[in-house]
Amino acid sequence: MAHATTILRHTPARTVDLGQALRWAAAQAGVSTLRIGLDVLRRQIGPQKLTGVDYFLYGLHSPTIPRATRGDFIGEAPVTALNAAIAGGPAEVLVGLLRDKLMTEAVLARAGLPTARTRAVFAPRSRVTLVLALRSAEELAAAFLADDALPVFGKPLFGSRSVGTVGIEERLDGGRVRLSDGREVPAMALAEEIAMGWPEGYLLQDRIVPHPDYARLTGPALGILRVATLAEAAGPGLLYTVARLPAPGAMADDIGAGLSSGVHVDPADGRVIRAQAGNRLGGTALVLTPVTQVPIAGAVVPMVAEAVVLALKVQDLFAQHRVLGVDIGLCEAGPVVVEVNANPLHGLYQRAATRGFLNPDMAPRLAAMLPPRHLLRRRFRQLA
Amino acid sequence: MSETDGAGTHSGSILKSRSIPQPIDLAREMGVAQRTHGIGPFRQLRQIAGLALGRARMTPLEYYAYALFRPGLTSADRRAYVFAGAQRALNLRLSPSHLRGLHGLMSDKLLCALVLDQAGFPTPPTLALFSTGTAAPALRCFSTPQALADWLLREAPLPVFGKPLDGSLGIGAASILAAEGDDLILGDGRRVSAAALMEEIARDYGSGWQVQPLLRLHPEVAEIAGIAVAMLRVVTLREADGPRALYAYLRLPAKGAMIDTNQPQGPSGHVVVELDTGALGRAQSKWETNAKALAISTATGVSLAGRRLPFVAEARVLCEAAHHLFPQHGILGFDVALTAEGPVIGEINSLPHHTSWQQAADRGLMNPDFAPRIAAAIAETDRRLARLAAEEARLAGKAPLRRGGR
Repeated sequence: MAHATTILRHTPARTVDLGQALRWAAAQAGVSTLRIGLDVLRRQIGPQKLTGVDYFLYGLHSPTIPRATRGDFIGEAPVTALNAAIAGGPAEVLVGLLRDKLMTEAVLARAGLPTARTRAVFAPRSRVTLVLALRSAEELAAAFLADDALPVFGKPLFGSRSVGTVGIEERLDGGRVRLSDGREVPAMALAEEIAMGWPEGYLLQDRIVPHPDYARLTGPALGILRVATLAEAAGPGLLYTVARLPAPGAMADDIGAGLSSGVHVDPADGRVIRAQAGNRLGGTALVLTPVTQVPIAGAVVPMVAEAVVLALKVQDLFAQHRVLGVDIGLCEAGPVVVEVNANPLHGLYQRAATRGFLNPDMAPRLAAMLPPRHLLRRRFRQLA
Repeated sequence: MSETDGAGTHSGSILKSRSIPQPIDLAREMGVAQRTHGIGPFRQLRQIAGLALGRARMTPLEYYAYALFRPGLTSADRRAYVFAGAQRALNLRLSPSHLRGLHGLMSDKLLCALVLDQAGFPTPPTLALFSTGTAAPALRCFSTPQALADWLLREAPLPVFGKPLDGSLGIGAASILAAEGDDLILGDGRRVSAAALMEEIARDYGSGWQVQPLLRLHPEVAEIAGIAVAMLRVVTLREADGPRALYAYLRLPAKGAMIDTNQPQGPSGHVVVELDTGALGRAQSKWETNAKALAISTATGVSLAGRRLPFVAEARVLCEAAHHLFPQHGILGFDVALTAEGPVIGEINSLPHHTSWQQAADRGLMNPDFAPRIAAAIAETDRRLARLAAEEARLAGKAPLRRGGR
C-alpha cells in the first residue's frame, strides 16, 4: 500500500488486525480467545520469537497444523541468527555484496550466469557506475519518457520486500506514464519521488516477462521463484522452492505488502504441492490463482528443475556464503537470477508449505552446518 | 599443522605459507640506539611505554623498526604513526563493516575481479580456478589437484600467476613459467613436481586458487623490480568531493623472488612513489630499521635515485575512478601492475596496511599533510552512515519520507 501522497510503497506494509484475527481464529477452532492469546504470547516470548502477525500468517491458530509441529516455525530473529551462524565467517562475509543488486548482477553476469539486466542506475553521488548513470530527477524522468525506454522495472539498489518497486509500461501524452497496475502518473513526479526516497541508488531493469505457461498462473506481473540453497559439505544443496503469485493489480509479487500468494512447489517437476492465499490468514489454501483464476490443483510451475540447477550454480559461485535465497524469474528464454538474498527469512516457505523451517527434513541438515556449541542448539531441540 | 622452518614455508612446502616478520633483534637495536644516538635504555623504555600503553598500541618491535628513538623526531612525529595494532580500527572507522560494506567482496579476489572486469577496468582475466567449493560456468574450474596439474602441464598458456582467493602477503602465490615433463618451472627458477605443488595447493588453498596470466612489467619498472610482478600500492581516500589518492609506493621484491612480499632469502623493500610524476622518493629495506634508508633496489641492485616510474599518473586516475564503484568504503588499497601497456589493477584491499608506506616514507600516516584529509574522510563516512540510518529507518516504517532527502 502506498502512502496517500506517494506513488510507490515506502515501507513494508503488511498488517494484520490481531484482535479480529484472534476472535476469528477462536471461533473457527471452538476455543476461547484467551487460549489462543496465551499461545501467541508463548511463541512470541519463547525461542521461536514469532510475532502475532507471524502466528496468524503461518496459520498456527489453524487446527490443520498439528500441535506437535508448531514448534518448528521460527520468526525473523532466530532465522537471522541461524543464517548468520550457517553463513560462515564474519557476519559481513558477502552480505554487503548481495545487498547491492547491481554489484551482484555484475558478478553473476561475468561468471556466466543468466541474470536480470539493468539498463541504468539513478546514482546522484557516484561518478563511476557499472551501467549508465542518471544523476538527477530530471534525467530519471527523461529516461522514462525516452523513445523505446518502456516497459521497464524499477527497484531500489538496496532494498527488500518489494519496497519502492515499480513497473512502468507505457509513455503517455503530457509527460505521463502508465504503471503496471494501471495508474497514470506524471513521469517527473515519479522521478522526484525516487530521487528523494532512494538517493543511494535506484535501478531501471528490463522488465522480465513471465514464461507463457507461468503467466497462466501469475498473470502479467512477474512472480519470483525463491530457491533456498545451502553450501553443504557434499556440495550445494537445495532446501526448498516456493513461487509467489502476485495479487490482482499488483506491479510485482509484493511480498512486503503480503498480498502475494505463496506456492510450495515440487523442485523436481514444478508440481504445486500447496498454495497459501495471500489475502487470508495462514492455513487457508488457495484454490484458484489470484489473477488468472486457474485451479491450483494440478497446476505446474514451468522450468523449476532448470531454475534449481541455476540456483545451485549461484550457490557454487558464492560458496563461502553458505545459505542463500536465490530469486529466479521464469521467462520464455529460461530462468534468470533476479536477486540473491544473503539472509533468506523463509517466511514465505513457512506460509506456503504450512510447515515450520525446523521440520525433520531440514533441521538435521541445518544442524550439520552449525558450529558445535552454538547457542541455537540449546534453544531448539531440532538443532541439538 | 607442521612445524615451520623459519623461512616462510612449512617443512617441505613449496609456496610461502606464512608471513615473515621483520628480522629485528631488540637487544641489539637498543644498544645501537644508545651507541649511535646517545639515547639511554631508560629513555628508550620511557618512550616505548608512552606509545605502547596508550591508544597508539605500539609494540617495542615497531619502535625499533621505525627507529623512533632518533633525536630528530619530535613527540608529534612519533604520535603521527599508526601502528599495526591500530590500523584496522582506523580503516574500519573510514570503511565501517556495516551491512552495505564490501569487505567480503574484496577479500575474494575472484568476485572482485569479476566486478572490475564488468565495469571495464583493466584487470587480469581468470584463466582457471581450482576450488573444492566455488565454481562458475564462465570459468575453467578444477576441483581436483590432478586436473589442475594436467591443465598446467599440457594446456595452460604459460607463464601464469596463481594465488589463493582469500590470501595476502604473497602467501600461497606462485608464478609458473614453463612445464617440463611432469615438472613446473617456477618464477624463482625452482623446478618442482606439478603433482606435489597441486597437492599442496589442494591441501592449503582448497577454498580457491586463481590462475591468471603472468603480467609483464614495463621495462623501466622491471629494471627496478626484477623478475617478480612488483605491485604499485595506491591508497585512495574517499573525500567530500570524491576519492583521491593518498599515497603510493612500489614494492621492491627480494633478489630472485617470484613474489613481491617479504621473503626469507633476502631483503625486500618499499619505495615511495610521487603520485603526479612517478618520481621515486625515500626507500626502506625490510631488513633494516628506519635509521638507514635504502639507496638501491633490493631486487636488481640498481640505484633508485632520480628514477621515475611510467604510468603512475594513469594508475592514480584509474584507482580514483575504481574507488567510485565502492562508495561505501572510505579507504581502499589498490595493487596496480605497471605493465608496458599501462596500469592493470591486480587486486583491491579494503583494509590496507600502512606500515610499508610509513617505513618507506619515514613518516607517520597521521602527518600534518594527511591528518586533515583523513579526518575529513571520517566525517564524510559519518555523514554517509547517518544518511543510511535514516534510509533504513524510513524503509522499516520508523520515519516518514521527507522532502530534502536528496
